[in-house]
Order: sequence, then structure tokens, then C-alpha cells
Amino acid sequence: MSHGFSGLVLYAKRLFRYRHFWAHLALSDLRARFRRSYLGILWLILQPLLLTIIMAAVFVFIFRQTFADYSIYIFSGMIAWNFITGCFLIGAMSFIGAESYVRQVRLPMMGYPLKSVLYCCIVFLLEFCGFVLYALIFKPAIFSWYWVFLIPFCLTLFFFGAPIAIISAIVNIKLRDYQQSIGIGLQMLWYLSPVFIMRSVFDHPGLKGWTAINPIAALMDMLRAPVIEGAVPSLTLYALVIVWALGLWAAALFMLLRNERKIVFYY
Amino acid sequence: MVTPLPARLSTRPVENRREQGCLIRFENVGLHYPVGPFVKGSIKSNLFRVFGHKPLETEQEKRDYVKALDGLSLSIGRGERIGIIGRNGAGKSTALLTIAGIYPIAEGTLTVEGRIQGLFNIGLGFEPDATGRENILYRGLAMGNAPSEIAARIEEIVAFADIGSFIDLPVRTYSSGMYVRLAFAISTYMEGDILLIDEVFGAGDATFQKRARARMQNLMENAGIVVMVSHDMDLLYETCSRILWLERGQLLADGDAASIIDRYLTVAA
Repeated sequence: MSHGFSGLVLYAKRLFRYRHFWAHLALSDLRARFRRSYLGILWLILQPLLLTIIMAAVFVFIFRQTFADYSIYIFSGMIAWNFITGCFLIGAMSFIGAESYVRQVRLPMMGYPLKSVLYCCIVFLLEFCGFVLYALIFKPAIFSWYWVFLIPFCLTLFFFGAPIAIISAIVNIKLRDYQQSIGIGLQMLWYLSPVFIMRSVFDHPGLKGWTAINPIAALMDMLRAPVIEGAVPSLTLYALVIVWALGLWAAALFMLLRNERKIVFYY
Repeated sequence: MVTPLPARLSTRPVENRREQGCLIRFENVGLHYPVGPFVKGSIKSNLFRVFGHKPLETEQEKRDYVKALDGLSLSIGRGERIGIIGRNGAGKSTALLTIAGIYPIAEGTLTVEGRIQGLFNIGLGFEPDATGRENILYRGLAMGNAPSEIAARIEEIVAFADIGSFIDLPVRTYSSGMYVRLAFAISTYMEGDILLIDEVFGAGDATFQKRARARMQNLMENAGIVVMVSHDMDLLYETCSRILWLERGQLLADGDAASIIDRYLTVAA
């Protein structure tokens, strides 16, 4: 990647030239995940569904919610959370898993983490189909025209996740301690974000300041406002996530600029 | 540095394919291969040191990097058939990968004009659970070809590999011979101006070897420049017009095949 805006445009063009290749890699990751599995891709619907039922059955007593309400809350949180953790964890393996290609042909390096993001997007969309099915059965009342706000939500989510995968891929190829430690960091982030834990908990005075700047909380609100509450998500939520995403993109591009050519040495 | 373009499947006739330049020029090129962050001081080695263990430190380990290529200056023009010789670790394969643009250079200037076709470790990049046919597609895509371009050539590749119905089975079920045949068929169907070969002769059984040799011959005749790394002196003598002798990343000798190979064999004996 060379410096300046024109360098970036040139880089994007090269990236686009290999679009078929990236798409193939993402799909082949998907096939690899369900190889020799009887139910195959159905697991993407079953897994969050079963987990939702278990979690809802346990937590429903703690948060005093009805099963239908709370399970919808968990399900929605889980699929968005799966996408974000996917960007961290699957993103981290992007370069490591691409050794045979990196050492063989010179392609724009950003493609490898971006194909991981593409993989996470496909998984997210399939899991979302599971969510729709679940909602149809347990709470059909939540369907409304507000669901159109899912389109800007998805775009924002993907825009936010992509630089995370790029950064994860670069850090992990240089320092493998990353993949060992990131799970702990994510667990902490899980406790500090309204994924399963009720949103009201995060409005407590001790957590309020953090919640106001937490992009995960904002993303969850952006998803749940139209889908569960039948409301328009506030613009400040978008602004917060986009500011975070721009910061992450700046960091990701800076790191890529410094490491693009050196990655081949770290295998 | 001019970014080398990867080879593409070409359906155009050979004669009017190469109007563009065809050139490789090294000007005082140095390539630093990093030793890695943990050779110098991992937590484990530091712990041993605490307990009084004296670490073995060679000259190499004290450095941050190995000079894989060092002050390399040479120029290769259209029509040349180059062989690179030298002992293991002399920088032969590194030189090829540097021309292909896979390794970045730390010093000097490298100019490469023309489409690169690399035949390095030809078995790399196979997905064991995908079929032979799918693997042909994947390799073509990695070279920047559109799926339609690959579809147009796939039957030729399948025919050349000649592994029967195995082409529709996962590659992991192949014998090592079939694996090599498919790899060879795929790799040699890409066409480029600059052909880089790293010891890929000797693929498959006797009949296939014959066809493989003919195919390589054909590829080499059509390429603007051929750079070949090998330890097979007879082969180099037969095919190359010029030999580069590398030693510790430096150019030790550069000249016509007969004299350089003779000198090399005298030293090696």
C-alpha cells in the first residue's frame, strides 16, 4: 500500500480485481466449518436458537421478564455479538490461515481479513434468518415497518467490524499471544455490554458513563430499537459507532501501511 | 519499483501477446529476512537465564535479521535463459520470490517489467477437501482470473493432468503422483512473460514426465525471460544461456553456462 489518497484508490482497485478469490475463500471457510456435519449450515440457525432457549430459561428468573420477551432480547443480542467476536477471533486467523497463498502470490493483504469479515457477514445474515423464524413463532407482534432500519444497522455493523478484523489479523501474525488473550478481553466486554444482561442494568450510575461511549451497547440499541421496541434508533447511536469505526479504520490502515509487505516474514 | 503483475490465463495467440517490456534489473538490492522477535529474547530463554543458564548465542542470533540478498546488481533482458546456482541457503529461492514481488527489498532498486509466472512450490495452495476441478478454479482466481476465463480453459487443464474420474474427487484422496500431476497441469497453464522456476521438474511417472518436459519446454520457449533455480547441473547446462552463482546472498559469478558450471563443480568437488 502506498501513501496518499491515490495510493488508497489504487489499492482498493487491486483488492477489487481479486473479488472472486476473496469470495471463494469466505465460502470455502463456511464449507470447511460444516464439513462432515449432517445438519450442516442449519447449525447456524440451531446453535443460537438452542443457546437462546437455555439462557432464557436460566435468566428469565433473574431479570423477571416473560420468556418470549427475554428470549427475543437474547437472540438479537447474540447474533450481533457473534458477528463482533467473529471479527476479533476469525479475523485474527486471517493471515495465519492464508500462508500458502501469501507465500505464493502477491495479493493486497487487506483482502484476507476482509474475507473473514465477509464470512462473518454471511453467518450473521443466516443467523438473522433464524431470529426471524423464532420471532414469527414466539412474538410475531414485533414485525413492523421499523425493520427497514436494519439496513443501515447492518451497514454500520459491517463497517465497524472490518477494521477490527484487519487489526486482529496484523497483531496476531506478529504476536501470537493475541489469540490466547483476546478471549479474556472479549469475556470482559461481554459483561460490560448489554448482550444477554438486561439493558437497564447498564443505566446504573456506576456504568452509565461507560455505556454512553460503548460502541457495542450502541450497536445493540440500534438493532433492538426497530426490531423489538418498534422505534427509530437515535442518530447519536449511529454517530457514536461511526466515530469509533473511523478511529479503528485509521488505526487499521496505519498498521497495514507499515506491515503490508512484512507479513510474509512472520510465518 | 514496478509492481509485477501475476500471470493470467491467456487465450490470445503467442505472437501478439507481448508488446510490453520484459526486463529484470537489480541495483544494489539487499533483502533483510527478520530473525523474529522471539529468537533474541523469549520469556522462556530469559527465565532460563534467571536460573543461571547461559544461552547459546551465535553471531546470527545477535542480529535482528539475516541478509538473504546482499548488494545484488544485475540485469536480465528479453530472450535470456538464466540459471541460478549456489549452495543451500545461498539466496537462490529468495531471489526468485523477490522478483515475483513476494519478498520486499530493504535496500536498492528492483525493476521488473512483464507478467510474472512463478512455478515455486507447485503443490502449495491446494485445498484438500475440495475436488481437483474446484482447486483449478481456486488457483486461477488467486492469479486474478475471472471465473469465466477459467471455465474456458478448465477442460484443457483436466485433460493434461489426465487423472481420470479422480478430478471430481477431493484432492485428499489423491496419490502423491496424481497430486503432482494436477499441480503441474494447473501451474503451467498460466502464461507469463517472465517464467520463474524453482526445481519443479520430475513430476509423476515416466509417461507424465515426458509430457511434463515437453510442456515445460514449450512454456520456456514462449516466455520472454526464464529464471530457473536448480541443483541439476545437466539440466541447467542444457537449458540456460547464462548462470548466476550466488553465495551468502551475494553474486559470486555471472557468465556463460559452461564456464560457471565448471567452476562451480570444481569448487563443490
